[in-house]
Amino acid sequence: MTAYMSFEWLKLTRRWMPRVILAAVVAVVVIMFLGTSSKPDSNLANLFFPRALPASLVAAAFAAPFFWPVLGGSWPGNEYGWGSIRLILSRRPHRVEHVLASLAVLLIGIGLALLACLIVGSLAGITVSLFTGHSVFVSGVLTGTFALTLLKTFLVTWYGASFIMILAFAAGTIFRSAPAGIGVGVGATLAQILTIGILEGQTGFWKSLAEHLPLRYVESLTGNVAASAFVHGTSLARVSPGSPSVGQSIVTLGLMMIGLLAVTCVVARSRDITA
Amino acid sequence: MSAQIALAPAPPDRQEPTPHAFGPYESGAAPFKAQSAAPIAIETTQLTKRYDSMVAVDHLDLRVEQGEIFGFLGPNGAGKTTTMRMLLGLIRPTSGSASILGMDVATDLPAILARTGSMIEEPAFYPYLSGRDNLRAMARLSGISENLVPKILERVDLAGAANKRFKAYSMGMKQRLALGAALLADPEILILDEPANGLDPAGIVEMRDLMKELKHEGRTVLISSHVLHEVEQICDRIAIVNGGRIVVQGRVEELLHHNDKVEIRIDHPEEAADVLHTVPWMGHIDRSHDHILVSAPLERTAEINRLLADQGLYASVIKPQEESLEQYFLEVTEGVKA
Repeated sequence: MTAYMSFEWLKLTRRWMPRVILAAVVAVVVIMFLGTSSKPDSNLANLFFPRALPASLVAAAFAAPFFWPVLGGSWPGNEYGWGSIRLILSRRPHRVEHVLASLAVLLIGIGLALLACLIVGSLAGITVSLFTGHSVFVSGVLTGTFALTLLKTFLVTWYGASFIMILAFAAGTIFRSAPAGIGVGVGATLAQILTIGILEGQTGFWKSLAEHLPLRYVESLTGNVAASAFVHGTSLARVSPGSPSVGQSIVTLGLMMIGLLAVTCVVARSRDITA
Repeated sequence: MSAQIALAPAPPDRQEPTPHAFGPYESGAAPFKAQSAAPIAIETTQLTKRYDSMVAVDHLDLRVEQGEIFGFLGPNGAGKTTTMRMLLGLIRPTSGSASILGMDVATDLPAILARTGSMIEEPAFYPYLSGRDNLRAMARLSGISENLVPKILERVDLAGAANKRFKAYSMGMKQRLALGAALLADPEILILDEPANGLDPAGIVEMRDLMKELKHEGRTVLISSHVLHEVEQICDRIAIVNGGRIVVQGRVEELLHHNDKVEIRIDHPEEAADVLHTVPWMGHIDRSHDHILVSAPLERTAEINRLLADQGLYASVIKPQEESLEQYFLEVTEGVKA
């Protein structure tokens, strides 16, 4: 496992795509900060440090369904496209270990990307406070409770992003194709946004069904956990009514991830490498 | 022709391996030492791979002895690459079994791959990594020291292009990098699928020399190639496959001398032919302007010489006709098609 992880880590740190995706996610965080500061929004107060920290995670969670599938889907998909999968398995044949090691490295990569978002978000928050004539640091916020909420927000944001990554990774592996992995990952997001939009216009059962799509679980995680860290009365501090609870989201997404991983491992283990 | 030639016995004078080219290993991986017992290095028994109704490999029985270079030949689609993939565990056989160094591919694959280097089909590396980084990645994967990478790059003559990205490599450079990756873990067995593909003439000569060097080090090489002239020069034994089946398997020189034809170079071929026509055991005689080709038992070449000399006809050369591997390959594979 460590040999595979060391190998995958070398690829992650040398490849341009993860850097481009990191830059894109960070750019979304910056744009959301600057965009919010330019309009008279109640959330402006949530952008000042240290609230900039959970705010940057909320922004990163918003970007997640669009960018992480690109990395997750292309990672195994390209191995089949380049034929490098046979290079790997003709040296070390533990296929399931390889799948798990690849995913582990990608998930570590997401964690580091979220840390980068925290740093960039903090700098963006300080910049916004300077431009809007506010204090660079809001005193009295950085308490033990705030720190715990921030830690939980970080973990659930990472957890939600992991689900999105694993979905695309599974598709990339099963279909042996980067475009298929990316397509399924991003396509699933777009399809769910559309479906949620339609279902929310309905009533009763159909409306409640919208709350049980995977994207809703992912969205509700970061938003609901981070809510208590923001200024009371602002939209970021509100928990969406009817949205799944944090516990529900964690369990449901966890089961889905286990299912996706199981299918991925079975497929990877049983297939002939003809690429 | 479909008869399978019996396997020849192991060569009597197997060379002892020379000290290893790469010196001491820092990786912790045990350096390879050739075993003196010379048993079978690679063996398949009734190995079969079917894809629906198509049989890619059909009850293949292959035996490669330790320390030899074994040519695995056949036209495109004959089942060579599929067999090699099965030996490396990339494809599961439909039936039959394969073993390498006495270990079963189905159950001992990790241990086998730790002692086997391979390159299958066109070189596939990470296009965004340099040659050096690709080998570093392979070293990490194999759990060996990255310190070996510069030595391997030198050995395959890529030290000067080590920092160039793989996608910018020429086909020949890609092939050499793939060979370097195969050699990285100091393997006892090398399974090489078309290693001369895309190489220029100088590269082919280098590859030939490298193969001989590998054999001299005591390694076993299973090689598939369409460059039959090279195969003829470097291989101890060959197997020719067609339609997933072994058509012929044996020592190169035995296969190429199998036809009992004697070539006689002589100043007066017409007169010589007339003399030989009177011999009852003489078979077909072909005549050209400076030589004749007769079908006759090889052990009677001295007798032929005496018969001609008795008539005042002196041959400058009398030797068994040597068929080229290329001619033999075409004869065998086209014979099967017919």
